[in-house]
Amino acid sequence: MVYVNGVGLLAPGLPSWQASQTVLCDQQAWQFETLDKIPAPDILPANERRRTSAFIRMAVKVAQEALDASDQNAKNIPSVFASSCGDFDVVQSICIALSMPEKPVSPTHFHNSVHNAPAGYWSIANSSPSASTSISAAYSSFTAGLLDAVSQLRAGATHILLVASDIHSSDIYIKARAVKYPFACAILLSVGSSQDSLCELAIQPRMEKSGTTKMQHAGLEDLRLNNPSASALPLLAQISAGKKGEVLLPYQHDRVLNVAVG
Amino acid sequence: MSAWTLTNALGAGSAASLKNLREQRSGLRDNDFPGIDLKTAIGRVDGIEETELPRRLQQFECRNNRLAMLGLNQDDFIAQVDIARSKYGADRIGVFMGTSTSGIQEAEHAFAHFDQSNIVPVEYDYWHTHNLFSLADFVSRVLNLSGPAQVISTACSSSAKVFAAAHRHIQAGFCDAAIVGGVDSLCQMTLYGFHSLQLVSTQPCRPADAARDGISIGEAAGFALLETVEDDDDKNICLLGYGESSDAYHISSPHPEGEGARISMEQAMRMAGVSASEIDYVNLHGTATPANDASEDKAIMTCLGSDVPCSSTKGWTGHTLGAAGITEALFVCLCIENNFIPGSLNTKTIDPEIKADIVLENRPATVRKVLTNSFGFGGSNCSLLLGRQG
Repeated sequence: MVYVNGVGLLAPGLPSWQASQTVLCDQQAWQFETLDKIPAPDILPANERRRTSAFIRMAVKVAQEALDASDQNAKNIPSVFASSCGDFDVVQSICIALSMPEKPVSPTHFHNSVHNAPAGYWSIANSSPSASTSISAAYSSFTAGLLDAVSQLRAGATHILLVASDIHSSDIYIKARAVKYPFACAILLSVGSSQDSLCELAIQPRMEKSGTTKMQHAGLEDLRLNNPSASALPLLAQISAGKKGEVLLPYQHDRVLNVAVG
Repeated sequence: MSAWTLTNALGAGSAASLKNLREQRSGLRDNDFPGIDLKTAIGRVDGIEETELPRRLQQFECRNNRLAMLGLNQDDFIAQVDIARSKYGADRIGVFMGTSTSGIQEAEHAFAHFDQSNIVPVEYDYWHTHNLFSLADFVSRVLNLSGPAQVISTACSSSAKVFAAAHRHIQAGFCDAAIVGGVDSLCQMTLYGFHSLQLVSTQPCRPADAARDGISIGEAAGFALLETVEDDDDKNICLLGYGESSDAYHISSPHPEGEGARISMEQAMRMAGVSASEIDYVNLHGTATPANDASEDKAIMTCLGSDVPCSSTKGWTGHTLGAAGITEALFVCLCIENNFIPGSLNTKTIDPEIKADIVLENRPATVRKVLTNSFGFGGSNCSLLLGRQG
């Protein structure tokens, strides 16, 4: 059993966790809205702020929202950053540079291209020496991140921050990598409950093949299916509903992770 | 670690690595990699081009997965995993892989064939080759395993951190055993990327040398089977502890005082219940950039002092990035089993600013407990403590 102490969210029509409570509970109220340009996070020093990309800003913004909801100091909290594809804008820019005769790879692009760049910026923003991991498991990245976070809580961490984010593809890439929308979320988990706790989660990998929980609204379901990190949506909707329920998240080999929210 | 195998510029399989480590023969060569016009040394693996993937897994076809396959084919590793699968069940063995760039060479090829329609060609299969998870998916399928799988991609600490993740998943009951490993393959992105940051040497890298001027990039694959240890086991080399930390300093430069490195080494020793005086050898991250080696040295001096023999083995293989953690962990296993400490190959004159005991020539020694360091961009640090129990 682990506890949810704060959530962050950013996706089309879901501008933050706080501002999305109504649409997550009454999904019919959701409307697609293109995300506004995300300002560089002011928790970063100016020289680092300048180098941030949209992908990094998204991850840092949701991490911050999840942390702000609790009285925890980010400095002491280990983190798991899950993303199927990482900073794809940067990967694409580098590939385009490599297709030119002089191969003019931007040093800043290369420096931001590592999968753990958001984790690096987050640790700098919070002067945090805490351990951080950055993982990918394609369309089960959020689920693998949740499993990893829970394994760290069972191994002795009292709190852990899980961040999941993926950025949409450009027109160049949309056929090869059909990620249509941006999506980022963060969940601050803990071993013990506190006054901040929103709910508890019990997770159980299920070995039989099974379907996953869908979103009721066709638009939100489209979002869920077209961004690997958005597979978190049914869990976020259940947490938002504030009542007991089970969510089946996609896992590998056509299996699911059963998450009991209580 | 009940079975393991490694493939790198020294050759395919552990015997090739052992022989060349013993004979102090580097695997680095002048850059001859197609499409890369840079004067530098590379740790290229022979035989990747000829390696075939199983027919049922053709869609995973890319240099990185071919290197993974070449690696898995060595040292009877697949047969030993077969035994473990019958013991635990396919869904009780997890797969934890490290890589920094996976099959990105496929994207490089796709963009080289960019046509007027401005979309990447349909032949390019992003999900099975270039996506980071491709590696863990491919390895799971080759080994017929269906336990929890993930790729850790934290730049050059990736395949050290897989040991920690696997250990925690076993501890949490999500699996009973695990395959840990890492594979990274040469590609334009890393060579030109590190070149853009002026971190690539024109010569074979010289860790801790006064004249060191950057890294040599290599490729490698390494895998190990982790099982829960019996109390009286003195046969297998064990993961005794690990430490993980963040520099919180800069994305592509290490903390000048080696703060994060110190924290990760101290955590590993604390977890293992091992004191500094019990460490027989430290396999350094030792990339041969001026900043890395200076910062790591400060961390070594703070937590271990100048009496512990240290060396970097990157002069043999180059910096194998996301495969460096597993490669060097397995070099450590070779040293423990064969009672020697490798010298820091290519290092001629130790930088007078470096105070740790840098070993220059291979020496015989009883090696029971070893720290191996892996530090990556983003300030991601991991230290593993490997050795015999007791």
